[in-house]
Amino acid sequence: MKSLDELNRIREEALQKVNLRQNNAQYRILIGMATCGIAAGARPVMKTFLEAIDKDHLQVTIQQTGCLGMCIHEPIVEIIDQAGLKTTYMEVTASKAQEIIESHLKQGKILEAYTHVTK
Amino acid sequence: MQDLAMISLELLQNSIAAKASKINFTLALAQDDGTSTMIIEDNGCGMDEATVAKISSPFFTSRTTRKVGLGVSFFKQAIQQANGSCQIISALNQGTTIKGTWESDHWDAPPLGNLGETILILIQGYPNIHLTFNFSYHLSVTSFDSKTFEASIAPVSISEPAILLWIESDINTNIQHCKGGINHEES
Repeated sequence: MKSLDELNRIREEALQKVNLRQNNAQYRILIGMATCGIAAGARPVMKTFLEAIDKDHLQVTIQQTGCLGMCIHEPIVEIIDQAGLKTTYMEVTASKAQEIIESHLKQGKILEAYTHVTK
Repeated sequence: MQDLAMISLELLQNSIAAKASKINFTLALAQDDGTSTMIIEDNGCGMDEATVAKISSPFFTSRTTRKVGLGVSFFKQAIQQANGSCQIISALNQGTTIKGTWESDHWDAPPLGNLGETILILIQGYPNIHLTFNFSYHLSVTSFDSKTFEASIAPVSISEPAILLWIESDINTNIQHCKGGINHEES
């Protein structure tokens, strides 16, 4: 039962991390997961963020939101910092999400290029 | 919205919108009689008869933001393409059961898609819902129960990223085992 051992290991690690994250979340990430978001590819985007939080121990929380009424620009990812400043990234893909993680979440640098509408 | 993973995610989100606290998701593929069945059963607010009659129209939705609602329509279309039929059983305050049965070997039978990811997304967004997932492929069965699982990892939350990713891969591995290890799907 390799996979159950793995689960136990993950559980132990998670125990260490949880309190830290809940008390010092630097960013809140909102991902549009309505029909339009999912059809446009929000699922791989969500997974990219989850994997990064896990792997790089990022102090962020993820929430799902509904449709914002800008379905053509989905997947939409909003990142809210501790001061309440909101950055809206549009037409996000898994690879753009990776860039957003590296730049915005890790270095605090907003990726202006992805905050504009391109289509 | 072609595969069962996406179709079911839509329907599961409908259950959540109907304030369900318990959802049973059953997918029985390659049954003895040559059919496959998907059932989503919730204890949400339910619908009256008139609403049930309108629900599969793409121009019906209970929300007020827009005039279209495609979840049930897509489900119905996918099932009917594979020579199948859908049933919606519901009554006000008594929850809703939506069921589709189609020919397992039909040309247009919907592919499975990434069901582990569907479960992951549902639990990530709504960790307090009691979700059960029962999958069978002919005689092989696998199941997942979010509350039993959460109890087994307590005090860690089920919505912890590492846990969610583990659930996804575990469910997909189990599904693959049920199907005899042959990957019929594009991943």
